[in-house]
Amino acid sequence: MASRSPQTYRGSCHCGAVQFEIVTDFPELTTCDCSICRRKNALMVKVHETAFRLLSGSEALRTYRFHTRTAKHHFCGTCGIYTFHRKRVTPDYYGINVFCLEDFDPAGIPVRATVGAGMP
Amino acid sequence: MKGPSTNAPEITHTGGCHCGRVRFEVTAPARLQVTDCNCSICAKSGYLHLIVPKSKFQLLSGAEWLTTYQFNTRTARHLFCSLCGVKSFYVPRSHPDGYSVNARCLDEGTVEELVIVPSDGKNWERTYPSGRGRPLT
Repeated sequence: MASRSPQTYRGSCHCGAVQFEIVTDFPELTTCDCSICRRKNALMVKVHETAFRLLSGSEALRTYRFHTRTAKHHFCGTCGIYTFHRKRVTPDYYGINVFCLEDFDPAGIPVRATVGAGMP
Repeated sequence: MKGPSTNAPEITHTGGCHCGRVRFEVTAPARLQVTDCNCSICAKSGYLHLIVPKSKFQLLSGAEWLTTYQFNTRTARHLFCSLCGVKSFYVPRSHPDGYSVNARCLDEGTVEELVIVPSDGKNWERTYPSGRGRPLT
């Protein structure tokens, strides 16, 4: 169930090269215990690719893939910040690093722990 | 539960980035006290600081894969793996004479306890009136 009304949120890496916006009603946030999310302490919101828009920084983005090489883990090549990634199980969705969103307060949004480490 | 002691015997922890290019070892107690900072870059990188003197840190591999990022006072040297993006250690503004290791990047098996202490890095001048953190031992 949505915890807020749908709204546009802007996000960026640290240096500002990568700018994006998403539209979401924040049904939930997720954490993940897989080998890469653990290192980034990722707290994410999932949005369909149609609700995501890259505003700038396509030339700054780097992509890292591993294991099944389905997920595309993006980060800024200048400041290193993980901004968003294409998800492995649902590659038409992005996982967004909510710490990159402007004026975002996670209070009241349910957090679901996903078990990435158990995926084959 | 007993918290970490500054006199606790120290062991060798190993760790690194995700892709494995950057590898290091760090000497520290098995029970670690680490810092969770709320500043603009630590929040975005999800970083947990284990700050040690230079003598207790050794980069084993991957120097050529590291990218450096600096901002504001340009004291800190933020380092991340240019292949996988993971920031596994860096030179912090609070302790430019030491290293901060990302406790989230330590290999499993040697950390017995992780005590997380919040740090108000967002208000740097108030948190560090002397301009830096306490000297390291």
